[in-house]
Amino acid sequence: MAGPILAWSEKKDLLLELLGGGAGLAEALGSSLKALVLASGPEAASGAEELAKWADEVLLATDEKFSVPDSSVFASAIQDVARSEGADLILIASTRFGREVAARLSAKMRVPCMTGCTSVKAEGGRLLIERTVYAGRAIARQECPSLPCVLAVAPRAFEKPAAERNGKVRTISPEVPEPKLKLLSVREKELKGPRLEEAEVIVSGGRGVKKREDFAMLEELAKLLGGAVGCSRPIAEDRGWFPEWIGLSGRKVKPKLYVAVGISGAIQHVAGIRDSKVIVAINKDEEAPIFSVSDYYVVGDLYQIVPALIEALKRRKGQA
Amino acid sequence: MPSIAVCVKYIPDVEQVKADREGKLITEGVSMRTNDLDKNAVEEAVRIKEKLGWKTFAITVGPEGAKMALREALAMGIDEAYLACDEAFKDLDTLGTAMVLAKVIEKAGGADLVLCGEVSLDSFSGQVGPKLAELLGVPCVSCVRKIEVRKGELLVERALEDRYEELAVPLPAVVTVTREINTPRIPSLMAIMKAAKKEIKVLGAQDLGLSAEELSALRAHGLLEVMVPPMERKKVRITGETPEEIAENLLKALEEEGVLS
Repeated sequence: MAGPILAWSEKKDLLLELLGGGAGLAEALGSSLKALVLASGPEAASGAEELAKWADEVLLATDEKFSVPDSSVFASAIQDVARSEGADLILIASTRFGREVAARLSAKMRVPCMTGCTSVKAEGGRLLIERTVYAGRAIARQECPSLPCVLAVAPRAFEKPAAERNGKVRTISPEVPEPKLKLLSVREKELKGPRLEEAEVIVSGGRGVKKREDFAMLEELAKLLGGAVGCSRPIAEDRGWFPEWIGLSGRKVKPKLYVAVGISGAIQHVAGIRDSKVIVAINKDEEAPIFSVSDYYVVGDLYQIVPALIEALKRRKGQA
Repeated sequence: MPSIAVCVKYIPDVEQVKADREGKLITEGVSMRTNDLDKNAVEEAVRIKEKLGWKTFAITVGPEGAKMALREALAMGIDEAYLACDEAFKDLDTLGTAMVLAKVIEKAGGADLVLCGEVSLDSFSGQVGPKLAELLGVPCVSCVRKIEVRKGELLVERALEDRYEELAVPLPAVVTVTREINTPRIPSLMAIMKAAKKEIKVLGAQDLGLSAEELSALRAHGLLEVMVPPMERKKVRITGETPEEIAENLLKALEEEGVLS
C-alpha cells in the first residue's frame, strides 16, 4: 500500500481530469486519492465542495499569495502538503504553468519528474508512462524509477471521473513563502467559437494565407463543410490574428476531415492533427512536408483552389 | 557589469529522425543542430547586450561535438562559452543537467539573468530552466515572449494557454523563452570565422566540484523505449486542368471517404 496520490492543478477542469485518471491509479496502487486546492480567496475556494465528490479528500488552502502565479510559491506549498500527507504520487496538469511548478517541486523534493505525460498506467506495481518527444514525432515509454514522484499529465490524457468517492473538504494551512514575482496585468485570450477539439471538420490556415481578411474565405469554406476554422502557430503567435492554434503546443484535434490551407506542415503542427480521419492539404510548394502526411493534396494556389471549392460546394448544395 | 548566461543544447534534428522496422526511433546518422528555441534565447541575450552592454556567456552540457552549438552562439554575438563535458555527465536527467549548469554559472562568476529555451525539441520536458532556478534559489518565469530590462528587474510577458501575463521579475532570475520572442539572426561569414577562433572553456566534473557518486544518482533513468508512431496516409495527389476541375475531383474523393456532410 502506497502513500496517497495528491492531485493539483491551477485549472479546475484539469484537476477534475486528474481525479478521473487518479482514481484508476489509486485502485491499482492501493492508495487514497486527494485533491489539493490552492486558492487565493473565497471565490477560488468555492469549487472545493464540488470536487470532494470525486476524491477521498479535498485539501483546501486559502492564501492571498496564491494570487501571484509564482511557481516557487506553489511548489513550496505543494511540497509542504506532500510531506505532511506522505504523498507517493503527485499529479499536476501539464499546462505551461503546471509544468514549471512540477519541475520546481521535484527539484525541491529531489524526486523524479516527468512532464507532458499522455498516458499513466499502473501495471504489476510499476508505473508506466508515455510522453511525447522529438517535437511530437515520437513517443517515449518510461517507467517511473521510484516513489515519490511528480507526474505532469497532459490535458485530456485522462477522462473526467465517473465513480463518486464522496470525500470531505479539509482546510489546511501549509507554509507559503512570499512571492518574488509581481503580477502587473493579465490579458485573457478571446477564445470563441466551437471548441476545435469537438469540431467534425476543420479548415485551417497557415502562412500561405497572406492577409487576416483572407480568412473570411476559409470561414466560408468551413461553414459549407459544416466545420470550424483553425490556424497554425505562426498565424496565432507571430501575426496575432487568432488567440489559439492547432499543434503540439496548442490544440490537438481529431476531426473527420482536416483541411490544411497554406500550411507547410512543421512536425509540431502535424503532431496536433495526427488523429484526424482524413487530411487534405492545399499548398503551392510542391515540396511542402504536409503532403507526405495527407490523404489528398493539391499542389496549387490556395487563392484559386479555395474559391473553386466554395463554388463547387455551393453548386452541390443548390442542387440538393 | 551585469551578466547573462544562456543555456543551449545540441540535439538531433527532429525533422530527420526516423524509425527502424520495429518502429523504434533512430537518431544515429541524423545531423545535429542547436535546439531552435535556445537560439531565441541566444538572440535575446545578444539584443540585451547590444542595448545595455551586459556581458554574455553561453553554456552547454554535452560531448565535444556540442561545441558547435557554442560556436554558433559566439558567432551570433555571445562573448564567452563554456562546455561542461565529462563521462560522468552522460545521460544525466534534467536535475543533473540543471546541477551542472548551476555549477558552471557559479564558476563563471554568477549571472544576473539566465536565459533558456522553453523546451528542447528532443526530450521535450521543459524542466531544466525551472530546476536551474530552484538550484540557484531564484525566481523563474517560463514561456516568456517579451522581455524589457528595468533597473534591477525585468518586465516580462508570459504566454499561457488562455492568457498573457505581464510580470515584474526581480533579478537574478531564470527566464525561458518561446519562439515568438524574436527571430534569431543568421551570423555573417566573418562572424562565423571569428567565432571559430574563440576559446571555449571546457569544464569537467572535477573542475565543478561534482562527484561521480553524486551524479550517478541523477542519470536519466526509467526510459524503456522511444517509438515513432506510424502516420500512414494515402498521399493521393488531386489534379485537374483548372481549379474548378481540381475542386470537383477533390470533393468526389472526400465524398467517397464519407466525410462530406
